[in-house]
Amino acid sequence: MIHTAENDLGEVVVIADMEAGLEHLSWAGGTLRHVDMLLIVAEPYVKSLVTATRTCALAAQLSIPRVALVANRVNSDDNDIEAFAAAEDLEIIARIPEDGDVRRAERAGRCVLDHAPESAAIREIDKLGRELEARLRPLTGEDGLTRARAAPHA
Amino acid sequence: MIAANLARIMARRGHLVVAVDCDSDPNLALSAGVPPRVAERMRPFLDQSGGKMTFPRGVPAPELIRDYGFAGPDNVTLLLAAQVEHAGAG
Repeated sequence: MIHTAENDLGEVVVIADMEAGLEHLSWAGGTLRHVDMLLIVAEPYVKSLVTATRTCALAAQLSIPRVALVANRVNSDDNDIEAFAAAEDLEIIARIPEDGDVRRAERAGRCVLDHAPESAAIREIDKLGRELEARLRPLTGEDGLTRARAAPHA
Repeated sequence: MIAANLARIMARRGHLVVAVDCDSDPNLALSAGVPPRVAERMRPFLDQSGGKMTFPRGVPAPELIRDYGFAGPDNVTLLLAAQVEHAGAG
């Protein structure tokens, strides 16, 4: 998942939901590398952490300026993602808990925000949103746009 | 789930949000609360005609959004990058 302020759109938050593994960063000559931040969603399962490791390597190759981990479906006693984050020298920017409300929303085919707006998962995603806002604000501010226009992407 | 809900939360916080589903098995619109029958009307913006996925040449982002953007809940603009249309295509 990628979060970016797309310069030629003005102050727009662009969130790209990517496939695990980022194989398609090759699309259009790797256009998707032009992002402000990459959030790697990792779940405390071996397969997910293997994919996250690959994604970290790709992100490093692409010189994405900010990379952070979002731990998803974690229980309070899970520490596999902490160990992984430490090994990859990555910050865990959010911890979305394993949440029955998410499961129930998905079973009902509904958006979690509509189905369980007060759920623990939504509270944590809301916190993540505020955190991203604080970190990326300079990019969407007037100065950020001026700089971006002066040096547009190809 | 995270991208869809984050997009709507950012929109509620006053941002103009464009959410792009880049998964070859797309479900961002559904996760954001768009009913399946409505979501299936979305058209992918990547040109898949040559067997390879490419951006439509020379189309500025605002135009891409005007032509392919789909107004979702909380005014999030949803974009679909690609969709495997038949077996063997992807």
